[in-house]
Amino acid sequence: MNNYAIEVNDLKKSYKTYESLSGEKVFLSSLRRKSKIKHALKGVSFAVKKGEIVALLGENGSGKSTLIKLLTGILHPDSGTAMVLGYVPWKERVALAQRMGVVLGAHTQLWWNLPAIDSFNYMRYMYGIDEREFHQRLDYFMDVLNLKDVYKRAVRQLSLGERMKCNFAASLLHMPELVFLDEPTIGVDLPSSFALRDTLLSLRKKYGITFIIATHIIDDVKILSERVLILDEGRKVFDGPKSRVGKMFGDLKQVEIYFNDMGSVDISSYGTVVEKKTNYVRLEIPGGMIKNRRFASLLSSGRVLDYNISEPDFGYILHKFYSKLEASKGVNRRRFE
Amino acid sequence: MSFYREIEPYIGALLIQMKETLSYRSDFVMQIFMRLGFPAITIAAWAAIYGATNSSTIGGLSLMSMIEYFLVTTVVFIVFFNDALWDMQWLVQSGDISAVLLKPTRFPLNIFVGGTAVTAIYFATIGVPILAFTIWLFHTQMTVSTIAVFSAYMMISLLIGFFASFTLGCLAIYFIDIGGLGMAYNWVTVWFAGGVVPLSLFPSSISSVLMSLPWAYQGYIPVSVLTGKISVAAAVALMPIGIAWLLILFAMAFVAWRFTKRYMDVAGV
Repeated sequence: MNNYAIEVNDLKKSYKTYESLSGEKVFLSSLRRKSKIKHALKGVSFAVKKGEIVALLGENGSGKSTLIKLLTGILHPDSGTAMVLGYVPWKERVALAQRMGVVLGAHTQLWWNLPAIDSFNYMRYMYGIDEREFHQRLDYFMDVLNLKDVYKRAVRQLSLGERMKCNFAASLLHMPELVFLDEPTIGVDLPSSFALRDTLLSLRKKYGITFIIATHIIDDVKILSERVLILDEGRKVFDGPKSRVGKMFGDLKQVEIYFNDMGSVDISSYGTVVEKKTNYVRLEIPGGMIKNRRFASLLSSGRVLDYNISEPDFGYILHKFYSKLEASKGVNRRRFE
Repeated sequence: MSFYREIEPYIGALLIQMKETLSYRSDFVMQIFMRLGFPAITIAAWAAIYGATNSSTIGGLSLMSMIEYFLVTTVVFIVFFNDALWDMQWLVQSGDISAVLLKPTRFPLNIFVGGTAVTAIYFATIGVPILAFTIWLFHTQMTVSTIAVFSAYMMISLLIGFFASFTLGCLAIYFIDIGGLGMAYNWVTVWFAGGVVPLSLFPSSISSVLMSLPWAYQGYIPVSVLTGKISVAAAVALMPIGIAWLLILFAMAFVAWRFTKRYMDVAGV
């Protein structure tokens, strides 16, 4: 039996974009436009095991949305192959859609003028869910997502967080084997985003559902995923455990020091200063520095009120990753110039 | 997969679209008045024309025949006018077309079912009462064969209306805003289907051209069958042309959708 939910091999996709010519007169600007070929994916390969939670990261325009559209069968690739739950997505879209769920943060599955329960009922017909099962699942989602007082109100009257939770429930009522989430917690308040994440983790644990999460929200990545796949300009630039992103920069530790009196301590001699305020400093140091006698004596000195040593924040690591990527592009560019 | 499971998603789409149509009561009432407004104005205009001419008939039609014609036209127009073009435009403009394509349904069938749900609501609330009122008021002769041929034409009318509207709606993927095209299409349809002037009143050269176009099979011919202006035998004889138009428009919708999908692919929509 195939243990993979997704297998992608050398997937390429280009598309035509149009740019209106700026500076033209009013009528000409709407008539004249320039077309341009955008290479959205330039040969991406990876595989996702069943039950994995993978965060799909990348800057705007890196190819995340195109990849999701290809894997859900909306678009055809220019070349390459993909198997999603045993289907070629662009050839067997309807059959695949039956076993897959998609949560789009920007587009709702709910009917705006009707209570959410009507959209849930529509999903029952859509996916042929047995009535008893449907009510059991509905009760489950209403309970874990705290929607009991919400789902009988018109969707237009719900808050953004309530709508997102309903949207999430609507996409998962048929218990898909694979779920694509595109910015699932965008604009959602803290309690709602926690409820969404908890539910997602619990579904993965209970039913082994595979999740692919495209997001810019670092907490989604930190809390939900073990594995990170980073795209940049249509290429895969990183694929591996979340912890390995940090290891790319060596064995780094993050130290927060609260001083009584910072005085003239040359803190930058110990590592890279990430943040500095009055009597507070956040440092990034090589792992070996912890054993350094001079650093140890600073931490134990009367000048230091308290300190905390931890792994670097993932958001910060990601920021470093992107900065390094940009710098390498600069180097490459210079090489070709 | 069982046949019921095949059609189950579309039953769901039909039910939820019906609920959506009825969700705003005041808008629903306004829609009913708007749909009654056009025939009311047309009938009033014809009454004025009859009043201004000193003849009791125009083109062989009395004022009462004309009123009967426009009442049945109202019912037939409810059946064949559908929102596919506007729905497509909205889906493209909002970007929700991707969300619809993620569902385990055939996109064109989904659009058809959604439009048919709206048609069914207005047919039940306006069409049936007007039809009953017309039959009662004008003692319209209703034989089994009349009902059968009229019903068959209603199906042709509904499908021609959908395929034409869907074909034009596909242009939204290229032009994004096709509101002007939609309005032009509606006006051409109203005129060419006999919604303002019965096709028999046009000069014979124009009338024969109009009678050979698909719009005649959507409006004028079904209305004329029910009001007895065209015999059942003549309507049956004309039906193959209506079916041919239906097949041509189906082919056009099919090709348009293929091009639309290809364009979505090329443009990465």
